[in-house]
Amino acid sequence: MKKLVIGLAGAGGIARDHANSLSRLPGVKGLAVFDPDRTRAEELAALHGGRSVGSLRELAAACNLLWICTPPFVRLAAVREACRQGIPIFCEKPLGLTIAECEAVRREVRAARIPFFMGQSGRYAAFGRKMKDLVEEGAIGRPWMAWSTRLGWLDPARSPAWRLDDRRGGGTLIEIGVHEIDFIRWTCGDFVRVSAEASSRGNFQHTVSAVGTLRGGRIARLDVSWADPRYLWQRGVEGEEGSLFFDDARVREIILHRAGKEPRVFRIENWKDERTGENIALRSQAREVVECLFSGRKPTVTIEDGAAAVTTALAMRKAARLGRTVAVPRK
Amino acid sequence: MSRKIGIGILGCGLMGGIHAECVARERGAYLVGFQNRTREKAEALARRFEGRVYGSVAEALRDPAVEAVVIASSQQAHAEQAIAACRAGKHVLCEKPLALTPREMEAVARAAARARRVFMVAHQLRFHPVIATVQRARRRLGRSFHLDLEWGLRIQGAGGRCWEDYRSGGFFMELGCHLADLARHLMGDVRHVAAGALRLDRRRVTEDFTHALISFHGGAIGSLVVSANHRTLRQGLLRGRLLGEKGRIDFTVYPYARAFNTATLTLDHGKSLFVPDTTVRPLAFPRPRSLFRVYPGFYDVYQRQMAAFLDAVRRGTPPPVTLDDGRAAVGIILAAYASQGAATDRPNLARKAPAYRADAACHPSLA
Repeated sequence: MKKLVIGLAGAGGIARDHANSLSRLPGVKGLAVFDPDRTRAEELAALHGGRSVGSLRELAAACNLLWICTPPFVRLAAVREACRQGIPIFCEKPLGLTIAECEAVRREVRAARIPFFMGQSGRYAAFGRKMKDLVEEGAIGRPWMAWSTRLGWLDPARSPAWRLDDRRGGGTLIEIGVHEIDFIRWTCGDFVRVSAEASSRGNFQHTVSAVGTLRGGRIARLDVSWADPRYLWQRGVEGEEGSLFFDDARVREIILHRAGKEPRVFRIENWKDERTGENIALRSQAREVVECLFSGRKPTVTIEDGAAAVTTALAMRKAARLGRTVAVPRK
Repeated sequence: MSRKIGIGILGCGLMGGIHAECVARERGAYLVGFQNRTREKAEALARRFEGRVYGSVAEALRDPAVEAVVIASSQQAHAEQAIAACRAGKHVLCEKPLALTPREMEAVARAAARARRVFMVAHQLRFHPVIATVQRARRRLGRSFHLDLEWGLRIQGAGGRCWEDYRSGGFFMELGCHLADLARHLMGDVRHVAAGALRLDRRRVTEDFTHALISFHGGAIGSLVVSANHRTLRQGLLRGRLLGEKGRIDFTVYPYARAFNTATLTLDHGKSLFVPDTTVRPLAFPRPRSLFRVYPGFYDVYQRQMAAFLDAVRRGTPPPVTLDDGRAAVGIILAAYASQGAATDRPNLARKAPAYRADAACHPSLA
């Protein structure tokens, strides 16, 4: 393939993080940026020596890989434009806000026969990767539970309005929870059924607790909140012979506990490259996307993974709404 | 002090011994006698505390010197002994769980209503200084919307009444009952329960991990987690977190050492919701020197509990933990079992003990 021009759809917070890595990737010739806020697009393009364009159509025409970082509620439009023009797609999570949207993306991508790369940066974070490796190496024996507690805060004065509106942003579960759901699926297996309770304010479901049964009878626990003034992000996997524990807030290390043995500590690299300011997980993800695009290799995260995370999150929302256990649709 | 209250201890295991020690330390009460299925245990306590040994529960209840009984027997026996004690006109301090099925609880409630004596259920966590501090501080959070309670133990064996016999009520009944009561104590009545559970050690008959999700009247939600296979945090540590519109409280309760009992209040001074402009500070709580070596980090919660019970008996006032509190806690556990039994194939406690499923369904407010 000729040198890549990446078309960045969206110029918000996450797009800026992506742009910081994309502009430094070997093999990337340039960046084109589109955002309805033209000034914001121009600023971001100027920062990375790219150019801004006036529409999604122009953006797709100007690039040979569309990098979708728009808010969730306008993602499908960007996918459709890329499919129409036959441009490969990288799409940030969540894949969609509804099962129908996820299905539409899959349908369009399949029909267009274009490469599709699902953005699920958690799979490229050093701590997630290490936990997955330790589980696969049998460090904790057969896993029986994966859990995540991710609590944080959202500043309405600085957040875009769509983020505080579930109909456009999906709420905490779709925005943040899909990362944790993907981690649980990745390390312990698919969700079969879920129960959940949720707390909302207006149209914004800010706190959710869920428990799920995974394939093989394993258990998943999830607590996510965007209404906690103290940051807390912990993940764990429990196995028949030991457990793994990660605490992002305190120390960046994974602790392996095994029955009758001293805990083992695995230090994890910082999430940020101090020299370039890059988010290392996003950089690793971007490198893999480009490498897969050139080599034709299958990416680590598939469109099915993206759809499964959203489907599970939606099942949790439904379970919370109905007050009963809900089966997670397989497709 | 006008008179001393005579106390009979039914069940002379670990808890019976602790309650007896509490009575012995109370100036307003004295130990009359002891009853246990295995007579030797009753004799051992009788020697230690200079009391009588009863050959049966009926014999203990016939003793006019026994004004009140502490029921500390195995949980299968609670309901029967509580009903008998009420019929004999005794005041009752009944260990948790109050009973194992709604039908049993209903029978106990009827007997207690007729007896018109003090009936208190032993949920001793309510008397822990950390919990009392959290209870006071939670008002500063504004509306609370999330409670998380996790009690992780590391239990190796598969023997003992809890693991060998599902009639004991299960592990979540054994420990989760405390969390269920604590959840109600902090957040109010429960509207709905859903749970996931697992029996990790296949030698065990009952489940050894349960995560119950609860929603409270008023819209708040909560998680109750009890594990016998816990390896991540300190074994035996009870960890709690309460989220509210103006902040958060983190707390830990640890029975085995004083150092790991903590409470921290984070207040958000931001002008709008979710904006962290916070102060974080540890909450002070009284740390009296513990009289008991068994649970030094519990700051003699059992002693405080006994004092509250005796005070209610003396004054004829309702106890701080009522029979209805005991029923509600068991109801939450049964609803969790029923939910989990309906949703999964294993471990299906409900299938092994059909009465649980049927009886849990009788709890329309919880099921």
